Amino acid sequence: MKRALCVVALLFIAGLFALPILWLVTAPFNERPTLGLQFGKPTLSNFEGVFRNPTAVRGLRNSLLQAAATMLIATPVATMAAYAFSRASFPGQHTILYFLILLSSVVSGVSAMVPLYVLMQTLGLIDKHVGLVMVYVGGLLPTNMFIMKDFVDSIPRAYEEAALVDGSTPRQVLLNIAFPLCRPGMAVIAVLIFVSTWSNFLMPFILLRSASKAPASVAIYTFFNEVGIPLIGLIAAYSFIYTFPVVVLYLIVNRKFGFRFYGGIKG
Amino acid sequence: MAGVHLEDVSKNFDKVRAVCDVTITIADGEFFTLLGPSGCGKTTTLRMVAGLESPTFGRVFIGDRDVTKEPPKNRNVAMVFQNYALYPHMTVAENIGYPLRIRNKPRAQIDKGVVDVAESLAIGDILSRRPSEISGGQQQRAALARAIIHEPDVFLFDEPLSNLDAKLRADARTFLKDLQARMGITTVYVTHDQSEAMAMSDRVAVMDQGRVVQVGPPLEVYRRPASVFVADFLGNPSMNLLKGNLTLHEGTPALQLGATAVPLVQPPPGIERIAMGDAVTLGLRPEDISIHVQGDEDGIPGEVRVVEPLGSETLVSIKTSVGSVKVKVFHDTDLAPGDMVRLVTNPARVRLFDQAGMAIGR
Repeated sequence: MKRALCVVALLFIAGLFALPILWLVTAPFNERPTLGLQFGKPTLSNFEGVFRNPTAVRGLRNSLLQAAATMLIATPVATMAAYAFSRASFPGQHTILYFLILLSSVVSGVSAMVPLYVLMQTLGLIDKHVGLVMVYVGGLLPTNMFIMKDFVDSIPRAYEEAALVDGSTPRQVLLNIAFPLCRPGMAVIAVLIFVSTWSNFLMPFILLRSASKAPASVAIYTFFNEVGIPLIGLIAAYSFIYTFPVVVLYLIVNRKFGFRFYGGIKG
Repeated sequence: MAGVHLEDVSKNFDKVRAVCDVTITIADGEFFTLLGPSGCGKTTTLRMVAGLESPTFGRVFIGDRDVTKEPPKNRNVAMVFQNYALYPHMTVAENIGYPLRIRNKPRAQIDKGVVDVAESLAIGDILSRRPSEISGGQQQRAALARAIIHEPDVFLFDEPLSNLDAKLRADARTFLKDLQARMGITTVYVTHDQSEAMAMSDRVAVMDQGRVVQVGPPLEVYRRPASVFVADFLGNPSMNLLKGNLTLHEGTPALQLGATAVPLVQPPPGIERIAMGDAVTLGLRPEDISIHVQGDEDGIPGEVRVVEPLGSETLVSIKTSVGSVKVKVFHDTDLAPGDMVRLVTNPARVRLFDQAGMAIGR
């Protein structure tokens, strides 16, 4: 009896969480979707509507560009910094690390919006992809460095020491041994960076002016008509497309790296 | 080919002194073992030879070359780690070939070298696998192959057998000793296992708290330990150490152990410096004591407590008035707990230690 109650309660909670996702996969294919969950004759007309909107299409491209650029810069930089923090020891190491973490929550937060805007304006980087990517990289580095440092800490130094004794220079150790061993960790932070950039709304909304540079998260506004009524069908379809790259990225990374057990060290 | 020489080497980690004034000269081609309990500084010493740690004081020589300030790659040494440290993202073949690849040898030479070395170590059939897919014994050989492929001047081993199970370890020990003898490469071997050190080495250095306390051929260190520490550390079971006092017994020096006076048939040189009545520790290997059941009035009286037949020998624990004594008996015995016996020592093998625990005589 108690068990049955538990199951019912759990089902209720699960349903609560599943509803929005169900909406997201059904609404785009519905000719007249509402905010409620409903099943109708499947159609692709909403997607046609989306692709007829040039700002929305460019938004997807912009999102991809901004997220990929941020990912490609922040991932290696975070990894190298994390490696240094993990392996070298220098005065003030821990203080610096924790100060950075503290700072990151400020930098990427709303509180830094005004100074950031002023800074970008002074640098002439308002309404430029470069400026936005710089803000993203700066905001995301500390946290991801911290995650990466934890990962590097878990790699035994013996690998690198073995490579040194085998005749490598420190640079060769880094390229041949340390970076390949860091790959699973890099994949994880790459996804994290990509996702947080991809889904960011506030930064591009404030730092980019022209509609032609807006990412998808901002471009979704073009699916409100003149009086502010949302075109639910189009928004649903656009959201569906918007979710897609992230899911694909997760799947690829999980398949390629996943959680792997490392042999070669017996302990 | 080169010997290794450490000159007054010390290593401090923050405020802890891990290695203290170690001076060792290892001859070309010698199998030299650093033996000691964990934390005695043996691995740190080895790492200083490898160049993974730099000495706080002192100098390190390989051959005639002062390598104290040289990075590992300029020392032409090879090291086998306790956990093997095979690169997990490379196949066994890539692992073995790595030292050649890093030296920019041509592809064909690397491939041939890898196959040759792998064949000689009987791991030719696992070259395409990854380290996580092979057994512990195979990993150990792969690590060994990676160490010998570039023909180093010096081999460094950091407890390479401690991760193998007992049977495999004995086989690997024989194999390693034979391999080293055939290749004739100077070897520094670190272990806490005294039987490994005894079985493999040309010479052993016993370390304690960062210092070398005795250096010598294994049997000499075994038979003539320089201190109570060495006596206790070497041998399984370790040396029996009985506390007594120096006395005169019928005109000759003797050792008063409880109620029994054991005459020193061959008093060691240096016994003069011990005053009569001073405390002295008697060291006796379990195999240097014989058990007399009856009749004899000589020897230390005791009572048999435990009898442990081990196949090739039997270990008998005997309780005496001056402590428990372990005796190895190499013939069949019908001793049983409760038997009253007398222990007679082999005078040539008696070892005496002074109050500070240092051996009296050489």
